[in-house]
Amino acid sequence: VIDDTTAPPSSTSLADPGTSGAAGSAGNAAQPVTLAKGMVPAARRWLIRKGNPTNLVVIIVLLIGAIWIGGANPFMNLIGQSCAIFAIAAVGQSILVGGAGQIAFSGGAFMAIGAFTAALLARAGVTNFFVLLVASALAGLVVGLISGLPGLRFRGLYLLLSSIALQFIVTSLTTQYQTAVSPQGFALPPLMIGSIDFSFGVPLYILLIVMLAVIYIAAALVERTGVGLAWKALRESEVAAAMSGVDVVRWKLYAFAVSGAVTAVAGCMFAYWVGRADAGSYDLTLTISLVTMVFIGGITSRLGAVLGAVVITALPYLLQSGSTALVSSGISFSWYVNNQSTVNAGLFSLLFLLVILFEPGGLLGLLKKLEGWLRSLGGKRSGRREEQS
Amino acid sequence: LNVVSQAVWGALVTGSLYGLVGVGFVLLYRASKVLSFTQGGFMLLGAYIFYGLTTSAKMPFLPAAVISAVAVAALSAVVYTVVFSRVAAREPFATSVATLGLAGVITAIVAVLFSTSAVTVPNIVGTASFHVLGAVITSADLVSIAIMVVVVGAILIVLRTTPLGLRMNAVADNPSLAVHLGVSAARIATIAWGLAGLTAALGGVAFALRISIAPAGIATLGFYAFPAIILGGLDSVGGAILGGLILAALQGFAAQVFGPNSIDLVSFGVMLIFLLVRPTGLFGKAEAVRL
Repeated sequence: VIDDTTAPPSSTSLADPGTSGAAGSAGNAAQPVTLAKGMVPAARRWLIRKGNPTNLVVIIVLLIGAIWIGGANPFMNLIGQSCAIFAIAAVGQSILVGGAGQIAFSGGAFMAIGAFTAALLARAGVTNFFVLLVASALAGLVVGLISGLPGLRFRGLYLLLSSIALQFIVTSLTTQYQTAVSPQGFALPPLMIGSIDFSFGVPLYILLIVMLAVIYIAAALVERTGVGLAWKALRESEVAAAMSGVDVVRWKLYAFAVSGAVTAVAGCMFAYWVGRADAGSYDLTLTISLVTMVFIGGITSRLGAVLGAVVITALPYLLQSGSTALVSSGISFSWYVNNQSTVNAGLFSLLFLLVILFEPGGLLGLLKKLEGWLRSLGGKRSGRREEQS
Repeated sequence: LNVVSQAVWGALVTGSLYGLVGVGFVLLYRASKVLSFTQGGFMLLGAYIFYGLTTSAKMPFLPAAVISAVAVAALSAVVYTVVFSRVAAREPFATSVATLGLAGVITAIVAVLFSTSAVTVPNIVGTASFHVLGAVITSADLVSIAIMVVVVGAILIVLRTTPLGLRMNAVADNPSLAVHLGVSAARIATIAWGLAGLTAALGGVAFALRISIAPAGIATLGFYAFPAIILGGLDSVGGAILGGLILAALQGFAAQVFGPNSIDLVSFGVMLIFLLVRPTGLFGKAEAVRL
């Protein structure tokens, strides 16, 4: 990720990765060691690696989109805010699902934990944003640790079932508490940092984007350390990891805890975004859409999770404007307009189904296939060049 | 006494329906190691086909129930062969996760066709009710229990006595060995999916007889089959029935003591405890993990 900032000057375009690859390898052949130093060759070598150009283009497109939305109208801003919140949640889930390979259906529960921790503390009189944020993260961390306990005995189906159980239990507890204490939900105080109001509009959007960037980069850095390697080993094969000396219990619990904390932070921000914590928002449907985001983007990739979150969050708005355009042009589209949320839920389920069964790499995987195809076009050309030299 | 006997009877009826749906899960799991989240969707589909047949076509109970069950069973088998079979053999876990997507699709389709509000099936099994020890027993209850007994009895007889049952047990026991001995695991899995669809549809029909149905509500009822089969053990047919009865009793107790909101909490709390302490359930078989 750090390399991204240095890459744009040296990259010409995605359409021509083959030639830049050929140039890079030719340079390395001439002066193998000395050229390897310095920013530009390092960036070039990074760019040659398979899949990286796709990642770069996706990151640039997302960044441009994020900046554009920052200056667009309030409605677009609102969509951008929810995209950022769900991207944080999706990154949290992807640490567990993609990073450590533990598929769990409890994302909504962790968002609820974050939201309710913040809301209940606010009710008790705490108004400082950072205190509430850290408290929700800690609550997510602790519950994540506990929810990892069933995962110590087994993985796969049983773990999936225990996470669904957790989801139902948290929904039931929060709903019962809410109906008993305050049926319309728990309001949150305005989001103040110092004397600046970050509750809505562009300030909230910027805050969310900064949080997303910090969490994303932190997760990327962690993945480069031994922790990331241990998670990867868990993902590939737990038994094999244990036999090669990886402390399965410890790293698994860490993955659950970290994922829980990040997802709870997203839940806290969601509550701030809505203005209140409402138990009804954090049900199994939310969990399923979170998992869909991770899967649609590309399960093993954090960037894929962000991409998936943006696509899944923004798609309903796009469909809505598309359908109103169709209706105004006279085509009957009433079955969609009348059942929008239902149809959207069905559509996401369908996408989810198709991705898992037929394209496990997700959207990012598809883009990388495209890159491979472009490379193969360029590869023929560069091959000829090498023959000449 | 009235309250107690009514609660016991209610638990017996609801529990036998959980058990019925749970048996479908168990058959599926034994045949293909897939845990199908689509069962809730198939219940929904069965219930609404039944609703459509009895209201629009004014069919009597028996043909309507049989048509819904056969239609859903056929759909389930077709879905397996067309969508899941190729992936299921290789990656049962990914398939299990994917079935959740299919459940969402079915729920959305039913909700668009019939709207999300609850509908009530006309009373077509008669309004006769009996009083036994203070409990009111309606004919819908009796029909529900009869469906469970007949279907589960038939499945148990098939499993115990017929060559097909022998093959199904062989695949459940050791799939690769069964395939080497000439059993077509794919065909067994297709049959199991069909049977699972059948039980789910009949479960949906039975619920439709007793309560008014709505897409979201039935899907949740489908989820209640999970605590039931975890209690009984994922691969035990008899365990699923017993698990269903225990679960329904617990739910009835929780609703009486802590109020109806606590049903989810108690059901899934018990499931979580079982997963932590005894993941194989009461009658399940432990599975060795191999590299």
